[in-house]
Amino acid sequence: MANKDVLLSVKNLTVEYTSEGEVVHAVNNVSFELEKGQTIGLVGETGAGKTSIARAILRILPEPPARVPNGEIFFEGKDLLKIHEEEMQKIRGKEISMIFQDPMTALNPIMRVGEQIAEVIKLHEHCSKQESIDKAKKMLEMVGIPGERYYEYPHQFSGGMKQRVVIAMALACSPTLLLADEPTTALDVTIQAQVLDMINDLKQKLNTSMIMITHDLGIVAEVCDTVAVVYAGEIMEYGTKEQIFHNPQYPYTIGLFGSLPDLNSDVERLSPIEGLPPNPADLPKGCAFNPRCPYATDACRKEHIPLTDIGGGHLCRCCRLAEIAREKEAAK
Amino acid sequence: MIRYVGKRLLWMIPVMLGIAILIFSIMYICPGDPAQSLLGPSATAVELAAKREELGLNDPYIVRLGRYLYQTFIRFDLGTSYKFGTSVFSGLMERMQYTLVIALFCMALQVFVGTPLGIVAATHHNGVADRISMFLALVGVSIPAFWLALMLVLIFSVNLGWLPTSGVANGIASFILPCVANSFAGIAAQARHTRSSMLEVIRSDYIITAKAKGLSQRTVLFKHALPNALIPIITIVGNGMGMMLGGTVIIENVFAIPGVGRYMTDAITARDYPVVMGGVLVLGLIFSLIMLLVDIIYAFVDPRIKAQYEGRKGKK
Amino acid sequence: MSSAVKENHVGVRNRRQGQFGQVMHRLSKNKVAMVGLVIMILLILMAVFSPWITPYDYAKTSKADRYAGPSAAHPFGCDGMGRDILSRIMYGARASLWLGLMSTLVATVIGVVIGSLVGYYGGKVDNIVMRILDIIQAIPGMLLSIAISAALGSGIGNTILALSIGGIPMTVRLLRGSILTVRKQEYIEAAEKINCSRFRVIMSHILPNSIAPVIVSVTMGIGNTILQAASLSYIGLGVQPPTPEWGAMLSEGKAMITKYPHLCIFPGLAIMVVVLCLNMLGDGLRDAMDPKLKN
Repeated sequence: MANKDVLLSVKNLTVEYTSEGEVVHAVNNVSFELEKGQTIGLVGETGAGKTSIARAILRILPEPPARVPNGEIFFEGKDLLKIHEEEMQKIRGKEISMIFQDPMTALNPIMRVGEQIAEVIKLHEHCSKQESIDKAKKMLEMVGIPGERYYEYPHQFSGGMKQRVVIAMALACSPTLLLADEPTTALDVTIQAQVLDMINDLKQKLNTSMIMITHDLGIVAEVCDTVAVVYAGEIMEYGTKEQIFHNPQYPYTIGLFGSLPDLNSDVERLSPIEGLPPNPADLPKGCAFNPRCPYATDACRKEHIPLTDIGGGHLCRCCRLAEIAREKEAAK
Repeated sequence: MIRYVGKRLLWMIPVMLGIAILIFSIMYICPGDPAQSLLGPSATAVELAAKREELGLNDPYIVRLGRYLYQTFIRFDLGTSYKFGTSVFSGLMERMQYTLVIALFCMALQVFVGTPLGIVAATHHNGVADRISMFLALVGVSIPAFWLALMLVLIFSVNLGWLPTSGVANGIASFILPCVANSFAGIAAQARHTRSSMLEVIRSDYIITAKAKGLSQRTVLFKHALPNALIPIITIVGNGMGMMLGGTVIIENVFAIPGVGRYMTDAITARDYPVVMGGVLVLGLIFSLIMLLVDIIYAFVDPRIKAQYEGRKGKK
Repeated sequence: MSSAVKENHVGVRNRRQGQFGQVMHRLSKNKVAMVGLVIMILLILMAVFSPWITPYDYAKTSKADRYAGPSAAHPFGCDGMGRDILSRIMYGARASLWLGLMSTLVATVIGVVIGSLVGYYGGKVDNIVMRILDIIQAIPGMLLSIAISAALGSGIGNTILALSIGGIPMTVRLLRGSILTVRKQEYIEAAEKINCSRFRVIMSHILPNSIAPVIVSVTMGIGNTILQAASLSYIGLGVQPPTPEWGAMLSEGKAMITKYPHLCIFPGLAIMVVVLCLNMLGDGLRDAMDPKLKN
């Protein structure tokens, strides 16, 4: 992975929340890299810490209660966690922007939709008010909303249209990195496809890199180049889309694919992953997945397992890979 | 929008009727005899009976109520004061200036002192400024206004001699202490509400969106957070006006200000029912108009509410 | 807030018993609220046991001590009839606290009954009741209390009634609003679908889930009512001398305030301390019930 065109490099990122005296470990020592024009998918259940990773990159975590005790986030050579707030403000919305999960609450309810887009344009492109209005209308049209609806308020828009507005806002200044936090979760399936196509198109047009946060493997298959499986704030498995989809190694990843309906085989029931995600305030000792893992042994319950390369840049945090492989073989 | 305001104004008629019936009934069960308090303890039984007949006090409840409603709502006459023998309406109007000056000035203090305090507290959340102002606000909502008034008189009038103790003879200076005493709780309540509303808004998703755009802390706070935070505060201001109007009744007594409140409390002691009823009706009307104004202001600051008034035609 | 934290909260919200424990646990960690609670308990104990613990008889007059200023023998001084002010304040706590507690309680009980009925049934009943409340609320609260208090006459019972009527509309509105939100939740529909009786739906599903704002407003309301009660007594309505009630004591002392300020300073301080403690407790309770409002 020692590539020359690395845009973003996250190293040992940790995020904690303090809630009523308890420390919640939302993100633990997460490291990954992203090349220009590439898309990485952060996959995991709700509460796994994916959103916290994205917000930490943009430095918009609510502090307090959130805290980033250690880690480095290199973006175009600068450590975003070290630079001055004013410098960060120039990066937010221009270099890096974010599409938020819930379109219903992401827009200011008492500000005209178009103004909310024009605001970011005027801020970063230092243009006149009229220019920013014209460009905002163009952005609206680009996401498939007639320009004259610039003057309407968010409550006059449907959920799907609001999400388009959020996307238009995120793309308004042609960012080099786009953080998409479950951009389609709140939408109908038909609109989901439209929105994804749109994001893909725009990404191609603007050569934007993207971090796609999702729990939907279908979306990963459609837009991502590399995938990081996140569980309890840790990356458990990491690899190219092909590596993860064709050769999942980590028991949790295998479980994720097992819980998808497969049209090719005739099974009565899906096989869900037993149990619940761990309480992030009280993570299990050893491997965080061990209470739910069918392959867990005493070793898994005792020691923290390192992320190891199992060939071709495919990383996995598991010490039972040999046994799992053998069982898979036997099952066939 | 105009239709909505029209509807609200029309609705005020039954409300006023309701207030009239309510206050008339309360006064009806009032113990004590207006004739007695008018004629004094030396009056003979015959004189008293004649006076009662003259005032129409011997008629049954429903007849008196009907007569009162007819007189008030058809002839727009609030009646004549038993005690002064003068028109209740002109009596109220004469005194209204003092009451309104105090109430409006108190409102202004509440809004223009309380709101900034709340904003400062919210923006310095958990900091020193927040803690100090919130402690003061907590004390502020806990002090009895009339006691604060007495203490202020003790300090600024009696000991320092800066301001008059009572009356309205000294122009603006006469109104400083009454207004401060009457608005103290309002200022404190306003600061507390502004702060909590502001803190709630700051946590909203759209504030994170605004921050993610790269806007400065200042712009996020004043352009995105504050307007949203102030919307629920408008109701507080409206209710505050009601509290101020009620509060002036007490404050006017403390400072011997010849306003509507004083007029009414005196009337209660003297069983001068027309004055009490007229006063309640007029103050109720003023308060209702203010609440209507509050709702109209809502529509102007919040497009969602405006859409509701206009019948949701904009919804897609 | 991270989805991790959100989820954590959702997990506990559904267990009602656990929720009560959680609220109490959070409340017990709030120092300010605990100070308020402890002082309140001490004040209530003082009020209850005042006949036995006051340094003097609250009604005993003494010509020699008329208007005596604060001294070692009489820490708060004596009033115009030579009665010990400290003893009168201690004994007067009974009337003042009782007024505040009972008026709020009466208003709350009536308000909760009406509120839950109109909130649950809605429709015509709701419309009529809300319009009547509109009328009551169109009269500034203090004014209404004054009028009712004048009509009913003085005395503790009548004052309680006068104060509570003004408090009913607010409780009804609060609860109704909160019920309307809860009513739309799916678990209410679920309860109705499995044929729970209406009474049961209201009592065990709707009320427990919508009462939180009422509890907070009650705590704050007691303080407010005590202030109103004192104001009433002050203008000569409500509780009247010689009953030792704080507002009435202020009313008695106001004429001599320039000469003997201690007549007014101490009863007023007593009112302030009580209301302050109740507000501290109320603030804490609000934060404990709705942790997302904090931070």
